[in-house]
Amino acid sequence: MTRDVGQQSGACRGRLWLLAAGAAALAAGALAAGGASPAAAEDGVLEEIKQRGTLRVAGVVYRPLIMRRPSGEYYGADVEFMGELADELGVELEFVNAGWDTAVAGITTGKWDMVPAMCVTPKREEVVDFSVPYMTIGGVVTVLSENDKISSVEDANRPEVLFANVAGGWSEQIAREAFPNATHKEFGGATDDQLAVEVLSGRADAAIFDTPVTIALIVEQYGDRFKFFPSATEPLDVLPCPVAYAYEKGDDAFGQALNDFISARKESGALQAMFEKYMTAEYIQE
Amino acid sequence: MEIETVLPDLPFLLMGIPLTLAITAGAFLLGTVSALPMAVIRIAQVPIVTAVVVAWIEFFRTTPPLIHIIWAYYVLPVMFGLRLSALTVVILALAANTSAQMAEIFRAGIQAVPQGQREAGMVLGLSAWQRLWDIVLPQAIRLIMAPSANATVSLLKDSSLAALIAVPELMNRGQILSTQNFRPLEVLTLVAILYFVLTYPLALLAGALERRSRVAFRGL
Repeated sequence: MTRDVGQQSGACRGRLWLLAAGAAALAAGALAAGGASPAAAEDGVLEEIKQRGTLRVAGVVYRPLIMRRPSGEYYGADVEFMGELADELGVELEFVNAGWDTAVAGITTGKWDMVPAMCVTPKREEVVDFSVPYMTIGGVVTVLSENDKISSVEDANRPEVLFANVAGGWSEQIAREAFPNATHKEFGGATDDQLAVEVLSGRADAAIFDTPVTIALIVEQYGDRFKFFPSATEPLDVLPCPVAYAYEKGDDAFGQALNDFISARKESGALQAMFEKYMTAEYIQE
Repeated sequence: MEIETVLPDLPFLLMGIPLTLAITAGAFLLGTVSALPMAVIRIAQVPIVTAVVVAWIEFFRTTPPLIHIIWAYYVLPVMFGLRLSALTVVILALAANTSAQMAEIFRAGIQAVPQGQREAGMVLGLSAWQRLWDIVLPQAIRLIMAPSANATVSLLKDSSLAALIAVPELMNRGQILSTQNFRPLEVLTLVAILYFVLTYPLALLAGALERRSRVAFRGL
């Protein structure tokens, strides 16, 4: 149950050969299309969706935004959002089986119209366009409430503060970059839950967890036993991951439709309500 | 497998060996020193005390040292405010485990010395302590040596559990190294070879002692 951004940006880390394969597929697609934009019709994806009568979404899995039951059925916050978007467009919603490794390539080759829950990275922005972000995943300093060594982000950057990190993990990168003066303890082959226990038992002063997903789980399980910096919902400004919908590069009409859709839900509070529903142990844990 | 890619990192791994050996030696000494009285008490059938000793032995023989380490490291501070260092936790947990194994090895060795020898000691008017220290143990020791060497081999391997709580011994260094160079297969192979180099002499010693102990009570 990896819940860090490693899964989110699955194609970036740990599966380098898949990335290479994806890049190869991409190049092949571009060649086949003779350099022209392969999938988009003249009028853009939006017209194509309406003509086709279905909105095709990449079925990538990122708990708790998009999850897949063994029966193949998709559920989660983004699944509900996509359903509403399809309703607004007056079309059916279809999830196409997909993995993070081919998610971007699937847009350029026209296998699906969009990829939800995707971390915006400069590399991906070269190939696809992104809607405005609808949430930000990032690291939060997690400290035991009674630990008076730390009462601000700055406090954590002192040698007497001991961080527990998973060696080579996403959180270690953040911890070392944001708190170079702190002391760092390395665990090989550990998971988030052991880091939580490190802090809980006072073995370490702090650990980095990702908000909103893991933080929501910790708050639900432990209530006010932990305090968070900058806050439970506001991540550190180091290696943040803005989450957005990816779509075909240059298709501004579809991009505008997605942006309008997100903005309306941000204003009405529907976005927040949806996350509060899904950021619970029932959906996060597996 | 390209083992040569990780050879430059060998010194980083080697620096973990002193700690691996220190954990093994510490746990073995502590465990063995406490095992002898436990074996004697178990044989002597002292009311209540024997029951406690048997409970201790059976508990540590039947539960994994991995859990003892995690429990002592994380639960003691939360429940009792007792915060031992990671190294202390590992040595104590493995010592508790070793004490249970060694107590049984001592018991088997002591009970293998023929009853007639103890009776002869009684006839000569030797005290219980003299009978144990001067007659039984010098002979039992020959039966105890080989299984003790085997227990040490197991203990040295179990010391790798210290990696769980970030004690920078051999295994922990291997895990950290493999996340840095993305060569887990090569690193773990190298770590296994290092463990083999450390344990094989002990295994050879155990084999030699076993052959010698076969002659222990020949003719009795």
